[in-house]
Amino acid sequence: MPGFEAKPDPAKLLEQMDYVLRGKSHEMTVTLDVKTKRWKRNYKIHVRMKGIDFVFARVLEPPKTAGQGFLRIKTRLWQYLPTAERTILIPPSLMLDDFLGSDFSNDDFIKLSYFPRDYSSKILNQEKVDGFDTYHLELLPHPDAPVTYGKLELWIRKKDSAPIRWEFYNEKMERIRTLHYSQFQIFGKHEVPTVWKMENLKDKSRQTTITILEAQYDTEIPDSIFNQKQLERYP
Amino acid sequence: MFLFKLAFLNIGRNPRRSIITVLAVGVGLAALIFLWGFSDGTNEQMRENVIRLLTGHIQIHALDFQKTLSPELTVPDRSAILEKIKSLPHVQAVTERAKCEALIGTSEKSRGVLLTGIDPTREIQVTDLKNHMKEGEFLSQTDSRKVIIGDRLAEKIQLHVGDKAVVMTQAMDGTLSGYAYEVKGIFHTGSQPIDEVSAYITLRSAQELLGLDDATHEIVVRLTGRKAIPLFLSQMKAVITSDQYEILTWNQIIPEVEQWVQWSEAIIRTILLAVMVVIGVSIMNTVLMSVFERTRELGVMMAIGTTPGQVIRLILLETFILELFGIALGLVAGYLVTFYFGQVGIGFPELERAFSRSYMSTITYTRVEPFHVVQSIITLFIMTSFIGLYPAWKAGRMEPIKAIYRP
Amino acid sequence: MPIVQVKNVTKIFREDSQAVSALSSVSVEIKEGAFVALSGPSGSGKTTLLNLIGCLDRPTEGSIHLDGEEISQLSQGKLAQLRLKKIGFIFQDYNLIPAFTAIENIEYVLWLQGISPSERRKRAIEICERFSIQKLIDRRPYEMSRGQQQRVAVARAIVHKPRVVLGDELTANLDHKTGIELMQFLKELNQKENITFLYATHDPVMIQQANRVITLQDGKITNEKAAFSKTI
Repeated sequence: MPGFEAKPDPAKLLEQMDYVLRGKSHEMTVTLDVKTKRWKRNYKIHVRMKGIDFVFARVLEPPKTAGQGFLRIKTRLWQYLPTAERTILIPPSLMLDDFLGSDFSNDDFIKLSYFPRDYSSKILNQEKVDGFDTYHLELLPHPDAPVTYGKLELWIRKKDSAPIRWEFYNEKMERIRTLHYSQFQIFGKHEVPTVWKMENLKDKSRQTTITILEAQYDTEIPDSIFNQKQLERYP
Repeated sequence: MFLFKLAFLNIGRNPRRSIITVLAVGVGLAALIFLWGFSDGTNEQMRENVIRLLTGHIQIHALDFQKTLSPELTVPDRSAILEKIKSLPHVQAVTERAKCEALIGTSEKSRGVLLTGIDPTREIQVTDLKNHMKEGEFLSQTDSRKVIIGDRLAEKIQLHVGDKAVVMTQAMDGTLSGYAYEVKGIFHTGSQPIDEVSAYITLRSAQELLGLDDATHEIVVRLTGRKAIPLFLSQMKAVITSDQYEILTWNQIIPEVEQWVQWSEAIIRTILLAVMVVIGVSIMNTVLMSVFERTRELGVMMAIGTTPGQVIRLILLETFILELFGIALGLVAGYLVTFYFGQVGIGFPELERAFSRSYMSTITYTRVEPFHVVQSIITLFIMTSFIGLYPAWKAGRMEPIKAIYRP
Repeated sequence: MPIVQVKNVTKIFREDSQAVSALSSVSVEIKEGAFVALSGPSGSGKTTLLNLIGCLDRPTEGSIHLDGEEISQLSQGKLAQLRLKKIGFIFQDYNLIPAFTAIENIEYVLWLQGISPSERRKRAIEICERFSIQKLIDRRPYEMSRGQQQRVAVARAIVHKPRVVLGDELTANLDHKTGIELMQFLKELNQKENITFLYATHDPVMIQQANRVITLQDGKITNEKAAFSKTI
């Protein structure tokens, strides 16, 4: 019926988007390409995630950093350095630091899953982006939510809530970063964008791209993996 | 001059009043000298504490390093700079450091710190951190994976001598770099910023951690004294171009010290003013009384031909002589007291926690700063002279008849 | 030529917006060498007349000539200069500067006139010898009897050779005997050295010693008597 469409619940849309990207669990191999003014790094990382509370990541390449590992359990983040043969806790004060020097922060690594809790969302309108029909959502943080963004804007596909684009605004409402999703591929039952490109609008010389090389969704990942001992067991 | 002799003799006529006036001035001045002595002592120690413990007199970095602490901002051409520094007069010692922001801790607790890589042999000639070790030992030249931390930091992340901790930072090439270091010692400087936020490893360890080869971030210079700073700066600036380097004096690195000094001296000056007013009022009262008591005598003097100008001069001279004695007394007393406490010191051990944020020592050794003493004397002198004007003027305005016949 | 010429002098004081007439149109002449007493009860104006002649005050009306110079219109500063040069004062007390010794008191007047230290000392010692008060030279006023103080005051009053010496109730604080001694002393000075004395008093002893007595009452001269038939 023209002119009348049932307005979907934005919170439900976000949940759906989350599920698209993460499933109940997933195992992925990604590359993380970081470009700054002075150096370029191409990491290859193997990631395992269960639900929204458990993440285990291991850096595979380049050789210098191979073996570095990350473990997230709920909101706590640990890092393992093979050169130190030890794990160190990443304190809350360093959450805003760049993850491996990229344009994603440690906080993003942790918090990207907790939208419903920290933000209130609403649908602004519908737009066509990159050839897809999308919902354009606006996310505003709750007054006492521990986030540093002033506002987030999100475009997701109408048909399956897959994300197309994020725009990040700081507390002064300046747009500081843009995240583009592209190159959709199908892994099992999930169709996901495999190229995630983050642009830093404040420092044009910086750029970070995550590319999903391969992914398996909803596999059985035992809980026993997500602990410090496993993190420290390398190779 | 006859008038001077008369002024002198007149003062002697009422010894008690004269002595009280002299005491008012003298005690007031002595108190001021002591007050300044306390302030100057505290401030001087504070400056020296910072210089001796932390900054040296001068630091040289690549431009913007102080602000950003970016690992790639190493000192350009460091050998040439070091050569040049060693050739200058008044240089007592030089050392180099590497610096960065890092994370130190274990899987239970960790904290962001300012990590400094020091060269132990040279560092102890420039700063005296070595003297502040509380437990364990200071770093030595051959240590490789050893770290020393402040006691507050040790407490916060639960580390003891002998424990191992991870120190992690972003190396110059952008990768995350980190190693395990054994806590070799724990220091206590009494200054919170240092004890809670600082960790030290050897320069070589830091270079390894940051991927620096043999580059360094900071050249620290110890001169013979603060007075040598301007000369050193001008000689260095002739060689160093300001688009590549930054040369910082200790108070540019820790500006809070001089800011505090400014503020506390402003307070002292306010007290100084209040003391002056009190002294002034008491002197004014005394001199006025002595003038009014001598109405008839002054009247007779004017009748027999003394001019009003001479009468005014007489009263002013009397005030002046009392002032002089007072200032002399105050100088001697003030110096003695300040000197005594300069030797013995005044301690506030209870205030250690409060002082820990400000580089102040808990024991002050008072010192005499001639500039402040001279300033106090001049102000006192001007004030008392001013005060003396009114009674003198009143004396000069007397009419002989009225003075003689209607006292 | 009389040393002092007072012509129709009136002096009115304003006190609490009330005008008090201290002298009404008084005229008198004093010749050099005179030894004159101004007598009268208190409030008669004798002190006022003395002050006007002594350049301590100015008349409201009339003229005064001192040593030929009209002084009734002079400024305070000029009057002070005249006092220094031409008048000697002896008050009933507080004559001497307490901090100074006798000789310093005498020297003071000479110092005011700008005389050199050696000359000052010479003249002061001279007069002390003349007055036979050498032993008082280094004494301070509180170390002297009243009679001695007055003698030093007289020395101080004449050391600079003034034209007229004025005195006010000189003997008021002295005992009878000392008072007589002082008056005789002054009389001697007047006779030997021809120093002109004009003094206000209501002490009969002092009045007796005078060559001429001018009596005042309510601001007017009521009587004039020549005690001795001397042309004065």
